[in-house]
Amino acid sequence: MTWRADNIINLASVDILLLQVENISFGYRNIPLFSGISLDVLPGDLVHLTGPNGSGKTTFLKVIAGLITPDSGSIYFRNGYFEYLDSESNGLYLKMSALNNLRFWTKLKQHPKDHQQLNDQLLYWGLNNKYITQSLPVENFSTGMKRKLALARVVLSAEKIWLLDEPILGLDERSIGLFSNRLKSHLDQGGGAVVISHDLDPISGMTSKTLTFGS
Amino acid sequence: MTVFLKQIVTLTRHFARVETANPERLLSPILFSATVLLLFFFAFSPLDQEVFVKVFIAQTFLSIFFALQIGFARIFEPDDQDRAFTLLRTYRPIPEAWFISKYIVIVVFGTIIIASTMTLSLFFNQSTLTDVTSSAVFLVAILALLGISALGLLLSAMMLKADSKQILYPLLYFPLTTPVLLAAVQSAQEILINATSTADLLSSWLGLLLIFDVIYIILSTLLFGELVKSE
Repeated sequence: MTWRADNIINLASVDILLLQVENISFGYRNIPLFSGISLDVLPGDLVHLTGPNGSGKTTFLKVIAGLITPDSGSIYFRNGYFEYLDSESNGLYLKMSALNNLRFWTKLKQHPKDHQQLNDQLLYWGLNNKYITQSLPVENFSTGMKRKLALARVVLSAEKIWLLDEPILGLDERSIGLFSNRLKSHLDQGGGAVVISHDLDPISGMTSKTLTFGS
Repeated sequence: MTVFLKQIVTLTRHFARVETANPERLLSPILFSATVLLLFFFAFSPLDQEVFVKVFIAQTFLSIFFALQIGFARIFEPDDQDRAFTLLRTYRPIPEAWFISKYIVIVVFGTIIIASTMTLSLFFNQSTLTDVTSSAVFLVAILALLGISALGLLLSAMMLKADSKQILYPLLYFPLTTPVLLAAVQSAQEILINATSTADLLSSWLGLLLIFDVIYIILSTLLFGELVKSE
């Protein structure tokens, strides 16, 4: 498996690195999936992970998120924290309401938001019906609504680094636009993101680096 | 308030909300207890007092044990439904705060199950039972709960790891909880049949029960961190 980084980091910028990945290697039962991957993310950087199915993009993102131990290499986050979005799940408590889900995750991050801030975020994503957001268990939400709620959680986290695996999965066209706008303002405000997406439109014009996985 | 305490408060409130959001999770173990007790009642009544007390102890602890087992096997069910457990790991809460929060909620719900089971047991046997209302027996059951809850929580977390072997849960849980249950049953017998005081029991079965509790709580707290920590 090979990789390439499109640009080279200036050494003078090391002190403002949001994320540094050094020489990460990983394989299953001695069959290497990827090896020697290094990556630096600076404020405003969007790193696009690309490659065919099964080439190791999701595994690489999980390694960065600390969910899988790499065979070798090291990962440094500037403040130790990040926000992660899985491709196959949204990390929601299905029996609880949208508002209670958001309230819990923001409180746990020590960035509690007041009722208005949470509602504003839900409103942005079009989840503004009071009954739906405050009373209805999220298990009754459609796939797209659950994804929007998960994205609202990512935005509310106030973390500088977002690790997003197929963030627009299940979203309609309007919601994809909303996601692009939020991602752009996150990058404009000095944040960084590592994104896996087979659809290039939502991140077009924002990508500063590309890591290509695959043989 | 320190970050540790803040996390305990946030997580405990949250886990309690999650548990109460689905009443079935509490109702199933209690109804299971009721069914077992009803079967015992029809199978064994009437009995002379000494045999009755032994049967009472056996049926009560058996009901409690399996009712709790139903609860423990599903401790992380709400966390696992949409992989919130995985997301929680990336949030890196202090592992001890996570363990304590989950443990508090389990012990509270376990206490409700035990209280319900004992109340039902008394209800089915009210005509012949007088001294089993002793709060000392309830205390013994709670002490057993403290140990097996810690163990149940640890093993359930172990099963959530992607590479874990599900078969390990019954193979570890049942043998490891047996000594706790034996100590609890013996303590209850001593209290009900021999009228031994709890103070005297501390140097024998009750003491053993307490030792198991301490060992399981400490071990589980330490090992839980290893299971849930971010790599």
